[in-house]
Amino acid sequence: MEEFNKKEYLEDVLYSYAMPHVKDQTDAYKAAAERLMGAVEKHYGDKVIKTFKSGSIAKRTSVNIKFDIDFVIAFRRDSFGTLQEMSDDVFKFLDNYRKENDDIIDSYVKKQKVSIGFTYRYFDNGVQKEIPIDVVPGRELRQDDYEETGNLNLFFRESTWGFMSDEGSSQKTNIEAQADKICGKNDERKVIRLLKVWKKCTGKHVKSFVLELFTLKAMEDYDGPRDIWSMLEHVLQYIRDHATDTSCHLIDPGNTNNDVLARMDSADRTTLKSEMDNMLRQIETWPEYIKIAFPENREHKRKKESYGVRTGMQVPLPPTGKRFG
Amino acid sequence: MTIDKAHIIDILRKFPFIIHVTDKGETEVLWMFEVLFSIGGVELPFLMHVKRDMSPMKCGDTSPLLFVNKDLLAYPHIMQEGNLCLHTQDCVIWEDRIRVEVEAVCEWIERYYIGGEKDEHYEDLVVNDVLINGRKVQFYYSQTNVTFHAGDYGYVAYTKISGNSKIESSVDTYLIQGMARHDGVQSHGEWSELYKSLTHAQGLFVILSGSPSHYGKFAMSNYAELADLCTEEQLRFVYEKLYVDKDKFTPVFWGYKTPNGKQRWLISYPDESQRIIKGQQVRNGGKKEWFPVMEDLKMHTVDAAECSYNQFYGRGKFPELITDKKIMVMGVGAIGSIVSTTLVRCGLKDITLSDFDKKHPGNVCRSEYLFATGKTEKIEELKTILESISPYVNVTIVKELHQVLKHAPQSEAKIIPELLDKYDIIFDCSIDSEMMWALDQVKIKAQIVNLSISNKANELVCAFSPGICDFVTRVYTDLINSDAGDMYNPEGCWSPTFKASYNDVQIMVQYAMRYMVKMLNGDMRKANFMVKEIDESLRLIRW
Repeated sequence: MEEFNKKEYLEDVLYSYAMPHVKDQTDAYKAAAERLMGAVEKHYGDKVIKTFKSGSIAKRTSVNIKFDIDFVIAFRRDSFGTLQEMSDDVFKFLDNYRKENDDIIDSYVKKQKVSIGFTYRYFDNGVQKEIPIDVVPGRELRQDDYEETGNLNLFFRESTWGFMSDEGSSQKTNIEAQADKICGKNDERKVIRLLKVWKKCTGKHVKSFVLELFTLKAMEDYDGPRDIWSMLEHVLQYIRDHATDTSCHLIDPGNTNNDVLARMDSADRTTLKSEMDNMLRQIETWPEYIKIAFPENREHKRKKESYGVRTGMQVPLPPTGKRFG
Repeated sequence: MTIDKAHIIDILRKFPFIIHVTDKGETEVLWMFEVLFSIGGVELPFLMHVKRDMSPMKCGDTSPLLFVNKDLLAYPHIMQEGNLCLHTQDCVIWEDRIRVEVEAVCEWIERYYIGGEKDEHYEDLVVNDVLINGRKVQFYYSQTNVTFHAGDYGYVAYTKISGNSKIESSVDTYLIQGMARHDGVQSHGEWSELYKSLTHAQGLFVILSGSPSHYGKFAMSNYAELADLCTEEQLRFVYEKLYVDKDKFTPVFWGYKTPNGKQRWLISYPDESQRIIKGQQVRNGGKKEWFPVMEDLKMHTVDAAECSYNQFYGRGKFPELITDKKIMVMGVGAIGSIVSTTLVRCGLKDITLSDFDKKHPGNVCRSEYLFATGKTEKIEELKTILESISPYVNVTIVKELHQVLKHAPQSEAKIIPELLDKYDIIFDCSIDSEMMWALDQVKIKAQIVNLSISNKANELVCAFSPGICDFVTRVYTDLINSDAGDMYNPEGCWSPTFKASYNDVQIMVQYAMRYMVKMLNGDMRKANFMVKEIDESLRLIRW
């Protein structure tokens, strides 16, 4: 039997999760986000330095399932007395925005750790659609220093058992520095996208940001082959070997005082290590395990010559002649 | 491997705790020695029997070497003939055999004779069973839903479940279905509805005031010995039923309780030519009265064994979270029939089978069906097989379920949940993709577990609801590269099927069931999985 080609398969996986497959959807997301950004700028006027898109779409690390769009509102230092006032005011604005816009049939605004979740639901040709937007309000650290430093203070909302409270603290970040860190790193981006596929398709709870920083760190001194499997394997091994290593640090490029790995719960670090270990061992003994850990997006599989019966079936069922009892 | 008397004596004399060995003569088959043990200041003699012309190896559980002392009958592990019952290790030379047995006697003396130790677990009475009308008789009984007590008496319903003529002599096996006390109170065994409903014969029961035994080990063997354990009322009842009424009530079940309160039975068949109870006339003032008296007659006792659910499955079963559930198996081909028999062999009490297919000879080689039964409906034959395996399983069969699930009109759609909601777990082994999809669409409380296998049994796929159809489709489309060109085509029809033997299918199903049960029992995170042989090992690949 022909040997399973991990490299080819992973390239097919990346292809199937590429964003251009869902261009209509991303365009709709971007349009909704831009409309909202415009409304924010109009409402807050001079209080706003700028609004800009962030997150995975901006960093080009997104995959075409379960994605959202993020944008940042950079406020001037003197715009609000406190960070909490800033966060609460943006929440209030978004809540009013949904009530005042007729094309939004229903939307849902919720307070999250540093962002405000805005789910935009609307009808498109009679079909209900949803656009999840994460709005991150931030305030420059000192008056008029944003243009120079890019630093922002976010309101970090405390949560108890998953319920967001109104209590919180400030968290310094530099979103543009975070995006710059990955700029031009196409290989790293591919690995990050695969790890996101793994996280989303297998229901893992590890933060994408942790996987992203681990990838960047693992690839810093990597001088091995540049094919996708070799790079992914190296990153998986690196995470396995360092997830519980207390001397390993994953420094947030937006805030050098923020060690993202140190903030992870030790049980979660152990789980991450064992998941990587398990995945590598499974792949070693049975390479096609990759298909389980990194399943292709069936909606956008690369077209191959096939006489598959499933082609064109609206409700796919298992192929005949393969499954028995 | 032979040995002579002088060598035996020589070996025995080397043990420091054997202080005297005397040759006590011989028979055609035995050499006999008196062996005096001295342990912890206690001297204890045994007559040692050595079977001549035998090797030092045991035959079954019987050693070629016995230690006998009839004065020790009251002690544990001393059998009726006074021989010590020792379960010693295997040996292939006489020197080892003698050493092992002698050391076991020493341990017995220390623990039971000097130490006064009693074993915690209850051992059934030793019953000297006899042939009844030239046939061995075996009774099985379970604990019952109503407990009767000393002094109670009444009728027993029992049924013959088999007449085997292949073990030693002919054996008739009976099952005690239940009892009816003289005042009408009934007590039923735990058996399945089928076994409870079989036609039955009647015997008599008497609950004794104590164990009908000597030393708590050997069953009484004479009716006169039972006299002190029965009330006059009980004896009158037995007398009247055996010798006054025309109906034939035999045998008599003499009930007693174990130290932990479990019901046990000593069963005897009264000799038809001699009365076991006689009426003794006495004058009470001017009145003549009679009293029942047990006769000095040998009891014809037969073997009886407890077969309660917990005993039946004592060696191993699935957890109660599985066995106490109502389970349906849809599709009873190779996988479904193996799943069904496994569930029942592991203690399941309530199973429903659903299929529309008939059994053909070609099905037999890798499923649980029999050739000898000829052409049958699969569910009907499997029902019989399951009921033959366990007396505790109630089996229901449903033939048209797939019709209802797939073709019920919209107006009757609500009947589907009604049909399925009575089950806790549904094993879908049907490989009917349309039904798999249909089941995904209905909201039911049952946990559906979908099982299927690839050609040559290379992979077995197990999926848990919800979302089975999508998962199974993905696995068989993207992961399983079966060789569709190398299928088995039964001659005379166009119905290619997979190639795999009973061994291939069994090992995959049993391996999968081991983990499926852990998941359903909450011992393991429930996740869809695939069993696959990789590098000569079976691997559980979990999602």
